[in-house]
Amino acid sequence: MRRVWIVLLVVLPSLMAQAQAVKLTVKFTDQELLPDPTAQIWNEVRPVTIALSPQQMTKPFGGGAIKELHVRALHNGRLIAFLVEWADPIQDQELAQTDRFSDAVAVQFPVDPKANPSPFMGDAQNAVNIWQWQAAWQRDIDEGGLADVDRTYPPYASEVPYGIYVGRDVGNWRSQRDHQTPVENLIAQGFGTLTHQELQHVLGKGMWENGRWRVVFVRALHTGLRGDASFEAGQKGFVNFAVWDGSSGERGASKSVSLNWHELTLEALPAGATGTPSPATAQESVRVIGVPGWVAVVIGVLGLLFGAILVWMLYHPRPREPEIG
Amino acid sequence: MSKVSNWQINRQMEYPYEESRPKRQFAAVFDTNKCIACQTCTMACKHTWTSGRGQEYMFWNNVETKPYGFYPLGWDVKILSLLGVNKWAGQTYQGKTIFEAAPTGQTVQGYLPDDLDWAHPNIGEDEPAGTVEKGDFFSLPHKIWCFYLARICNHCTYPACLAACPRKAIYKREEDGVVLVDQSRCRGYRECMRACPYKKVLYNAVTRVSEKCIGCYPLVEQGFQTQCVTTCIGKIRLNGWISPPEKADPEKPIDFLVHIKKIALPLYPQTGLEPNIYYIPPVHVPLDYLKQMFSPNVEHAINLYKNLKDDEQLLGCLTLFGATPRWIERFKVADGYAFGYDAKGAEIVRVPIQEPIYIRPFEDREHQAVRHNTP
Repeated sequence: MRRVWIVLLVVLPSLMAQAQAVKLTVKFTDQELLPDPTAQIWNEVRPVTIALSPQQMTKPFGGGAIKELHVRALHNGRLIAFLVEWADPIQDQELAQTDRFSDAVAVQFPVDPKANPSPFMGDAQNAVNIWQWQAAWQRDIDEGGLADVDRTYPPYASEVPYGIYVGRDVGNWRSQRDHQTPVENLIAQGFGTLTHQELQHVLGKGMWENGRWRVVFVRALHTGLRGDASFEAGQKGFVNFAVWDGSSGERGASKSVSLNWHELTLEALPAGATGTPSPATAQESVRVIGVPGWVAVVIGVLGLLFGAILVWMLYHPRPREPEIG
Repeated sequence: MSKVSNWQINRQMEYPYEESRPKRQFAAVFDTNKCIACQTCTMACKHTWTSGRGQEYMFWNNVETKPYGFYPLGWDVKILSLLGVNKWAGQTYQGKTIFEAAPTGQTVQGYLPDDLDWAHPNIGEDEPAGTVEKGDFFSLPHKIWCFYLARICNHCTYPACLAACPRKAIYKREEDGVVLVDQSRCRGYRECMRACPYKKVLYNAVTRVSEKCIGCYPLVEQGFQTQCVTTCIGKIRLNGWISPPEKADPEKPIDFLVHIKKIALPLYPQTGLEPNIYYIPPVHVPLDYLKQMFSPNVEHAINLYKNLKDDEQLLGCLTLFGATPRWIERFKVADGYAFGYDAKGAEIVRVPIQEPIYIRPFEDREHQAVRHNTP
C-alpha cells in the first residue's frame, strides 16, 4: 500500500507537470566560458523559464518562496556553463547563526544519460549528479575565508587555540575553511542520500543585484569521475533544478523544485570546430583539480602500486564500494 | 509511521521507525534535591567537549533554575504549549506526543529557537516563584519555591532528532543506546534542532554542522561514568544501564531506582521520546508543577524520598551516587554498607550508609595536644 502511495505521489505530479517541461538548448560558442555571471556572452542567449513548486514528497515539506527560475546554457566543446537567475528580495548568505539559512540553487543531471531516474534526487537504481551553489560559500570566497563567529557577534573577545573541530577533522566539506569553489559536486540515489563527490571541480559564481540572484556554473563536458554527469556535443540529456530561500527557512528538503526533467540539447560543434579550449580556459580547468594532469597521473600510479603492495602484504583484499547513502 | 511501545506513557505511540531497543541503554539518575546549581558539571563538560570556536554558546550539560530558568529561552513552555493540554488518565498519557502532533509534512512537532534564545544560559537563576513572606518555608511543599534542573541529552529510546533528520545522519548506538550526530554526513539543516523538545542538539556555526552530547562514550566504553556525573560535587548523579520495565533487574542501580522503587522519573515523558535521564523530584515544590514535568508518578516518588531513612536498600543505593568514577553494573546493600560491582562482579566501591561518628577528647594525652573548637 505504501509503495502505491509513493508511486502516486512521485509519478502523478510528474505526469501532471509534463506540460511544464521545457527544452533547454545548450548553445555552442567559440568563446571562453568563465565563472562570471556578468559575462557579455550571456546576453546572446535567450533564457528559458522553469516553473517551481514547493517540495511535498518527502518530509519535511517546504519551499515555495521562489516561483520560477530563468536558465541559459552554453558550451564551447570543452566546457559547459549554466546561468541561473531568480528574483529574491533578500540576500541570505549567513550560515554563522543557529537560526539562519543560506540562499542556494542546484542543477541536477542523470549520471547515466540513457537512464530515467526519478527527477527528485534520483532513485536507488539510477544516480543523479547534483551541483549545488550556496550563497554562504560565495560570501566565504568573496570575503577570503569561512565566516566565523567574530563576524556574527563582533568584536570577538578571545582566540581559542585549542578547540576541537570535528566536522572539519572528519573531512566534512561544509566544515572546511577554504573552499575553492562555491559549488559542491554531489551524487544522490534518492531522498536523503546526497553525498559529496571525491572531486570538487564545478566552478561557479553568484551575484545578487537589485533583488536578483545570477549564478553561473561551469564544468568540463567530461571529467572521467565516477558519478559525474557527462555531456556530448550534439547529444540530448536531461536537467532539473531546485532553489532555496534562506530567509524563508528553506534548507535541505524544504525547497522549491521543478517537478520533472527538462530536455537538455547540446548544439553540435560547427564544421571545423574542434572544441579545443583557448589557453585561458584550459588553465581554468587545470586549476579546478588543483594539480597539473601529469602530477595527478604519477600520484595515481604510485598510489595504486602502494595499495597493491599493502593488499598483498595483508593477504586480506577487501573490495570497496564508494559510499552512497 | 510505526506503532511502538513507550512504557513511560504506558501505551503504544507512533514513531517513524520500528521499535528497536539497543543491547544496553545508557541512563542516569539525577537527584534534584541535592543539586545546588554550582555548574561544576557544566564546566566539566564544557572543558572536555565544547571549548572551540562555534561552540561558545553550547552547553551539552546545563543547570537551569525552575520555574524561570531556561536554556534556550522558554524551551519547555514552548513545547508544552505546542502540544496543548497534556492529559493523563492514571499512568496513561492521553494527549499527543510530539510525533502524533506533527503538522502535515513534518515528522515532529517542534520549533527552531532564535539565535539569541541561547544567549542567556543562566537566565532566571535563583529566581523563586514569588515574593517570599515570613514563614513560607515552614510547610512542605514550600509556598514559594525554586529548584535546579540539571540537563544533558536524554539519549532517548525514540529520539526526535534522529526521527527528523532527512539524511539519517543521526544514529543510536546498538551497544549502549548513545545517540550521535554523524559529523561527516550532517549538512547542518538543523531539523534535529527543531525537533528535539529538550533542545539538546546544537548547531556549530564554525563547522556548520550540528553537535550534541556524546554521553562521554570514550569514558563509558572504558567502564567509567561521564564527566558531568563524576565531577558533581553534590554527588547528585549516577550513571548506569536501564532495562525495559519487564526486564528490570533489582541489582542494577538505575533499574532499582526507576522501575523497582519508582523514585526517579523521566523529564517530560509526554513528549513521547522515552528519555533516559531520570530525576528524583524535589520534595519542596508544589505537585501540580512537578506532575506536568515528571508525570503523575511524582507523588509516590516524593513520599518515598521523605521516608528514605526507613528504606535501607534505597538509602544504600543513593549513597553510591558520586562514590566512584567507575561504572557500577550491580549493587548490594548489606551490614550497613552499599557495595558497587563492575561487569565482572568485582567490588569497585564500598560506602557506609551512615558515616561513623568519632568523638575526640579535648585533651589528647597520646599526642600531648589540646584541641580547641575553633571555627
